[in-house]
Amino acid sequence: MFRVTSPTKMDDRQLNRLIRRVVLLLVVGTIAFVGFYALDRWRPATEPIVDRRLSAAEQAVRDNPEDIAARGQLADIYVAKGLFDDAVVQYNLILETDKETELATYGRAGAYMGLGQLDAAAKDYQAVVEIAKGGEMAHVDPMLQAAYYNLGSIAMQQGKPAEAITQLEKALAIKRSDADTLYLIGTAYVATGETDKAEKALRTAVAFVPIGWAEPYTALADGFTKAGKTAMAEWAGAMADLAAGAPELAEPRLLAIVDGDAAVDAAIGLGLLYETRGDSAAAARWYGTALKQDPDNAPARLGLGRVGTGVGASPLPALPAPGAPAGGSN
Amino acid sequence: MTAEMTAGGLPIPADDETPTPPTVEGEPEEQPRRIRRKAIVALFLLGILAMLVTIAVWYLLFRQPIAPPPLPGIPQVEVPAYATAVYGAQRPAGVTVNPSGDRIYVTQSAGDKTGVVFDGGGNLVGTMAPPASTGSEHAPVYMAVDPLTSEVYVSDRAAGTVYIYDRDGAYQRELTLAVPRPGWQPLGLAFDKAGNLYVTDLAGPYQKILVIDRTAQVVRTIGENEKLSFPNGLAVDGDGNIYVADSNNGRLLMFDTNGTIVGQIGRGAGQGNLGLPRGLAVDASGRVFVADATGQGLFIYRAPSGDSRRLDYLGFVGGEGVADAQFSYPNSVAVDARGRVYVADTFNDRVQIWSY
Repeated sequence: MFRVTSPTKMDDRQLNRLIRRVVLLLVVGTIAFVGFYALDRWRPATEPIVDRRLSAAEQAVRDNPEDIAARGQLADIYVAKGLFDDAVVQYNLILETDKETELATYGRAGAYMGLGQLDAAAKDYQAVVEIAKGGEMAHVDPMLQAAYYNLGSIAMQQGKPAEAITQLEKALAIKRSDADTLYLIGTAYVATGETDKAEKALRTAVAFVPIGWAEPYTALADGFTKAGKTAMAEWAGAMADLAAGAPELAEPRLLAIVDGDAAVDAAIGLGLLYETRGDSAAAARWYGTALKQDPDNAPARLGLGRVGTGVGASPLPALPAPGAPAGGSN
Repeated sequence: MTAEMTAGGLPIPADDETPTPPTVEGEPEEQPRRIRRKAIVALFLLGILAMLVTIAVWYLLFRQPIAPPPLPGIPQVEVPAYATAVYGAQRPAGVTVNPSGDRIYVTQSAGDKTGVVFDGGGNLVGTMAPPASTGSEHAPVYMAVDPLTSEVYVSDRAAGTVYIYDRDGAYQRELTLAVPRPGWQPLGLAFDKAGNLYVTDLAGPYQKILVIDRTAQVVRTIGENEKLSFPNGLAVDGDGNIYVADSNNGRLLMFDTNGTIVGQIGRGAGQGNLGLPRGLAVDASGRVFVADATGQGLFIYRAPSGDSRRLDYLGFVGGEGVADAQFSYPNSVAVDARGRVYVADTFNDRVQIWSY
């Protein structure tokens, strides 16, 4: 029969034996359990998607070194992977063939940007401009627009805001609604002290992207501060907080200026704040407050239209769904 | 000087320093004390062994990840970590998984637009396609696994029906409602623990959620007055609360068992606000996962605490890109009973697996 003896009634030898056995069980059991747990939780790692594409693109170039399209794809993947030196080599090989010159030059400019070689990048973007500006569709050419934008961006990075404005105005002439260009030209105007132009550009930028993008509001705050518009600077700072995902910081700042020079903007900001919180009733009240002071204010009217008058009302119009899979979930 | 030096340089203790051999005087008192100490050690070790056995049995029964004990001052981790990805599906639109995680079902929105079945290791083990007699116009998106039969239900809005497959992807039948609903447009699917099927129906001016019992009767409609706009993902938690991704309104709505809204999250830039919520899932501990297509990631919430109607925001994972743990328009999310989260990373042609 199996006999259980309490450890307190065991003699020295029995206790030694028991301790040895329990320790052995603990060690073996722990190792077994940890091994099983690790194996059970573990899932084999897969090769990252960039590496998969890189391997396939390298193989395609090995299979047919004359295939310019394959080489171009390989160079683009090198850029995506951050292998800018390798990308430049591939773009150079494409350019030696005198085919796809515009695309390869544009790609090489991006690689130079990645390497921090701004002068080389600017030279390539300028070359793209020279190729594209005489084209039949130059006034709507997205690559030309991007080249102008990047030239403006490089000029800003090199501390040449006046030159940046020249390039960015050309980019805006192709695409007037590009919020990135509007933002960048706004910061350039702030740097040159043209605060009215800066305000106009930056307000247009935030009209396209009212929430979730703090930088234009920060630039606006700088512009208003330079122009001595304290209340408006406070409004822009508060909106930057809201856009950065800190409504708890934005709310008291906006409430503090609802009666001053920035009253309408502050009320709209509060409407937006409550709208993002899902509190449609409060949002509607603030949009209404803005409309009482400025009945034609478009953002306030739009806001009121979005939130309706009740909590359960349909809040915002449908966003375009660039990712909507074919087969359609909307 | 108390020690002399030998020729070898080793000290010899002086007579008065010679160690005294242990006396036998204390032994009878020392022995029971030593035995008592050993008994305590043995009991302590037995206790640890019992604890290890308990943990092992619990893990074998539930297979939930073992969370480290909370540290004071350090908030508990509420978001999963990236584990791996499954490749082989084209533009995966929907994903679901059986509770053990050994069958991953994926609908494809490109190519032949069929469903594919992977095992837990990411190996392709089957396909899900309706018979040719059902026509060629198919758009399978969301799926749900029947908790009672392990069958897989696949919504096909283009065909206006729900197809049913077995656990390995073999076609079984079409869902035939007891009272036909001509022109219905099923999209999001979910089961509650009793096996009732919840379906978002995009037909008509009032998009809504249908509750279908085991006899295929539509027993309830929910959300008809909420101006839903393309409700996509759907999930039911253990308490019977229903979550729906009201996609084009950018809302996540939580209905209680009576069909009343008790929690919501809106669109916006505030912390936890949504962009274009699509698929969603709820795990056993009540965490709500929302795949946000334009937010390029996964938002995680919990039912509202206190008086607020706003769902508690736990965190966000992802970001736009092609690297591991980055997304390109994720459209669907599923959870298994092992603490793993599966995300259809649509435009990266993969299903990412995250884990607690």
